[in-house]
Amino acid sequence: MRLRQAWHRWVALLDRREAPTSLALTRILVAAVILGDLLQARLHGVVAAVWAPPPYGIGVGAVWDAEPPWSIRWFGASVDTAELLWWVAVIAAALLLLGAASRLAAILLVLVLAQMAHIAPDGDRGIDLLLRAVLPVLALSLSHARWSVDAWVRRRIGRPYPPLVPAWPRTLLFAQLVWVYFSAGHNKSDEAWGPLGGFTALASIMCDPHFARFDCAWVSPFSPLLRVATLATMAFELSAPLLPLFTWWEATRDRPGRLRRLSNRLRLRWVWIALGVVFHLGIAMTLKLGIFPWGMLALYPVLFAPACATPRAQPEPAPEHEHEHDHAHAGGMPHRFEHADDWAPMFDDPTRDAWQKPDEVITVVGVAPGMTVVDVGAGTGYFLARLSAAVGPAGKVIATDIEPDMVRYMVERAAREKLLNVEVLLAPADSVGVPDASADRILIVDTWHHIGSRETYAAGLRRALRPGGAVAVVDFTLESERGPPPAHRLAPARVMEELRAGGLVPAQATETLPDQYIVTAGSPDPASSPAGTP
Amino acid sequence: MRRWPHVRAGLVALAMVVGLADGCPLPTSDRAPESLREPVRVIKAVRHAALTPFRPLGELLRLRQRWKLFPTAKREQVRMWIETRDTATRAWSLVYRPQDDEHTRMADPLEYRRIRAAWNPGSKGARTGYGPFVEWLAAELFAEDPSIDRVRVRMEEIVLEPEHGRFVGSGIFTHPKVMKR
Repeated sequence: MRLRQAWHRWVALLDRREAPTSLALTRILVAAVILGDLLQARLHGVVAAVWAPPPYGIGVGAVWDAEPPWSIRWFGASVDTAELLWWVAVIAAALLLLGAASRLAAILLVLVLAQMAHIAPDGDRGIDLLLRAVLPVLALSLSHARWSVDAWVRRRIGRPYPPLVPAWPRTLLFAQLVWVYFSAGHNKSDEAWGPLGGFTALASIMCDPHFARFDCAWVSPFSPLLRVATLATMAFELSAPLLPLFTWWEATRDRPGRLRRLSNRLRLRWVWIALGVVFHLGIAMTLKLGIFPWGMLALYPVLFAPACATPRAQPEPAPEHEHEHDHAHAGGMPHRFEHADDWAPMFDDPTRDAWQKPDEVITVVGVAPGMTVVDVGAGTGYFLARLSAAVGPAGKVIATDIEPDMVRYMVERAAREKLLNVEVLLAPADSVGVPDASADRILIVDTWHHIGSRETYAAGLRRALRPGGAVAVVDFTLESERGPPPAHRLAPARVMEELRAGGLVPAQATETLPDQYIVTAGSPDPASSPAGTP
Repeated sequence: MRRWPHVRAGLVALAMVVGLADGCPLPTSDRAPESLREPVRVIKAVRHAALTPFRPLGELLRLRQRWKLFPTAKREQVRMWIETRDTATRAWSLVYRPQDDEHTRMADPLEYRRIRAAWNPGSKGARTGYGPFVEWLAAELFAEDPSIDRVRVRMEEIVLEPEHGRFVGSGIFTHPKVMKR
């Protein structure tokens, strides 16, 4: 059973979606480093020297291997082949940097760089290998959904990329980076890296004339500091597997646990990342290690989850409560929904009906003709048409959202769909935004977990209800494969508790939807039990 | 149940397991303790067999998951000397040496990632590209300077003394290669 749960968590982790910013930045930086390296080779006039076969260059793999790489078999062992590979690599790297035909560019680039590595095996350093390992993942990702020519073209032809893209490539690259550091750490075999060698490794390396950027004289007075730096380097590399844990603890800071609290108090995640940045910048300043420090830093964006992260196909028409994040209440999940047109394909995805079951929700909530129903955090207005029909001409639907563009979108939608009994309001983040005693039903779908001070908000809900009115909170179960990250999910019991704290009387939690529960609550007036609730 | 997320999760897990299996450090048979040699041999054989289906992809993209960064930091290192011989006087002149501001001929191209590590002898001696590197270098120097008839590249053994802020040359040279015009 535990294995099954672990598997479902793993699936849910890889099923998450997020804004494409981290991946886009990684794509740009990786391509820039590769392009810069290739251009440097040209600038120094060593393209043929590195990738042409002897006697023109040192590309021994082109002639000495039992089976030369396909580029040599196809085009021959010559300077021209080296030039051809270099040009294709440069063009592919430039395209990847610009995000033009990004996937094709990434595939082409990794194939050509691999050929160059086969031809010049000595020159295929760890950083070249790492950047090559990243390229196939970028090719499979939607890293070009932002800051790219591809995204610009898609917008121009009216088929923009979705605002959220699969997060698994970033997760995989995160794991890759962690493994690189850990592997580098445990492969350090020299005593100089440890206490037996007095932690003198860095000082020695900085005196090695093949690597040192400056005369070695400066090393002596800094010797104690370099010992500390050596120790820190080892600690940094060997502790890399803890980084996902630090990251997890930071994302779930509201949960109990002494280690979690300690990690967050000491900001261990940030300490680790800062060490990495300092470590690589220090290397760049003091050693001639080519693109190594820059190539490593190019991957650091994958360590940062974009603020806008949510599970796949997960509509979250919610208020943005970034500033109301209240840890005492498990916090509202920060989120922004600025461009309604970008979100509409996801929020109004026809496949949503299958799991959202809007008609069932409306039945459970007990919406009846003539009622005034408030749809809090209505987003692009997924429920509007159904609610409008349910309350009929004599009733009224008030759709609220705190995002102006969502409000604009719903106003246009209501006009377009001729929903004459729908009113759309821009609501404040901390209250329902409708007059006291004005609502018969308040529907809050996939939104409650975004709200910061939920108990205070619940008190506002109570005031907004008419006698006999009811509130319905529809949100994701803890086990659902959909929904917000686990840290931001709320158990039905907790929602009931929060509603009760606001002065409402929770009636029941229904779990007939595939991924969600429905918690209903009425006002404390004994004569006003939630009408229509079974 | 949506199947794709499960399939994708499986594929990602597989990629990670394959990467870890490939990158898992195992001692070479000569370095493993006697009692562990047989288990290590078996584990290596199993790993080799298990990774066989993935090897073509790894070979195509030339990927592996074993990472090293200065695994050794020995004090005994080498320093490359590049010298040319004047045709008329037969006198040798030092033209390039790393960390030597007075001998910097071709320093720019030579120091581009040390021509991709060609002149950076590895822990097991000179790299395979060292010979072709010297040939290429000699051709460049001969083309540049008609007055020379020999190019010599060799490595001086040095000892790093960071506590004194210096390295000390031994006067002993290894990896000598001389190219004639």
